[in-house]
Amino acid sequence: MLAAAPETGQRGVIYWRGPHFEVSSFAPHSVSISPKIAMRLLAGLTFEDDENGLVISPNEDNGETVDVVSTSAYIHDVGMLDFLNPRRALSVIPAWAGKKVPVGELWHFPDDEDRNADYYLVGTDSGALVVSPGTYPHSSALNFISSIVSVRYETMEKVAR
Amino acid sequence: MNVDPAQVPSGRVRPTEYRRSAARQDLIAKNFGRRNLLKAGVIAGVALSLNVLELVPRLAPKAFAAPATWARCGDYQTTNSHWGECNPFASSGTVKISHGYCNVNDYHRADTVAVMGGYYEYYRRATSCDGKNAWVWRIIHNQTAPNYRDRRCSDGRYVLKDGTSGAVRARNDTCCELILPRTGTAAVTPDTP
Repeated sequence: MLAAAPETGQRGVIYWRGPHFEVSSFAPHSVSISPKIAMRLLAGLTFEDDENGLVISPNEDNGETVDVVSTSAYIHDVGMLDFLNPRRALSVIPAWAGKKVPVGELWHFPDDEDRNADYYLVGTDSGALVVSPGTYPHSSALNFISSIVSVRYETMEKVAR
Repeated sequence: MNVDPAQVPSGRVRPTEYRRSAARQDLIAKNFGRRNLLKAGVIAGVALSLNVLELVPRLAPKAFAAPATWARCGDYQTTNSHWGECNPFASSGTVKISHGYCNVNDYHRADTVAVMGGYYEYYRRATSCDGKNAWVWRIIHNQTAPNYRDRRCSDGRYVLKDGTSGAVRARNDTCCELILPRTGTAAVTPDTP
């Protein structure tokens, strides 16, 4: 974490890299607090990184929750997949019904100016998936979406004071 | 189960007559019920993501209302007085910012470009800015910024793949930056493709 840069515009950058995954973040509120206190934002977190996934959890009673806001993955021959947590999902899932798929409902977001920028949104009870085919056929994205059988979002709460 | 593309409704255009989304209602019922509201009042929140993270100071009950469009982008503006680029990661180098990442319409490109030994696949991050892809900074809100120009920013990323094996060699978040004319005192306005 960059907590003590002389230029305040550079403070708040967080970067962590493990053998399999990496995490980057920006903590805007750390700009106006002392570096020592800013570093406490990370001091209570444990990173467990293996090939099956990355688990970030609080390791002391600091009254914080660990909340995955978004994550993304590249899927060969399909494109990019972004997962949005419930709070973000709520802001993007339409009010009207989408096409039913095994994990929820599906909408198409066409881009009139650049078809490669079209994307598909899958709304579920646990969050939302954004599938961006890019230059891959949309049929591959739709087949992938219809093959998803489960979407799960968990918040690991250590302490509620 | 194959999905017929013609049967997938648009998420951009609200039908004149429609059923309410059950997925949206399920999401609200599961995650934004009264029990969660009460719980949110007694915990502090740290928000982390594997790719683009944000730290939020506290999860107050009001935070569970549907966030207003552009609210999160506004947070970037108001919490960093030296903010002068398209992304809070700008100074870290983890997000690359350039007009070279733009398409002909000055939004992030979404094509494939061959290079020596491989090719770049470009994508947009469609919902990275509070559900939107792009936003406008007005310098009037950030007069201490070193690069004193209004700009429009459109988020994306690239995947660099090996030309022979197709293996992913690199991946990076990127940002298409369009420098705008000096427009004076106009407020920050939504601007999305």
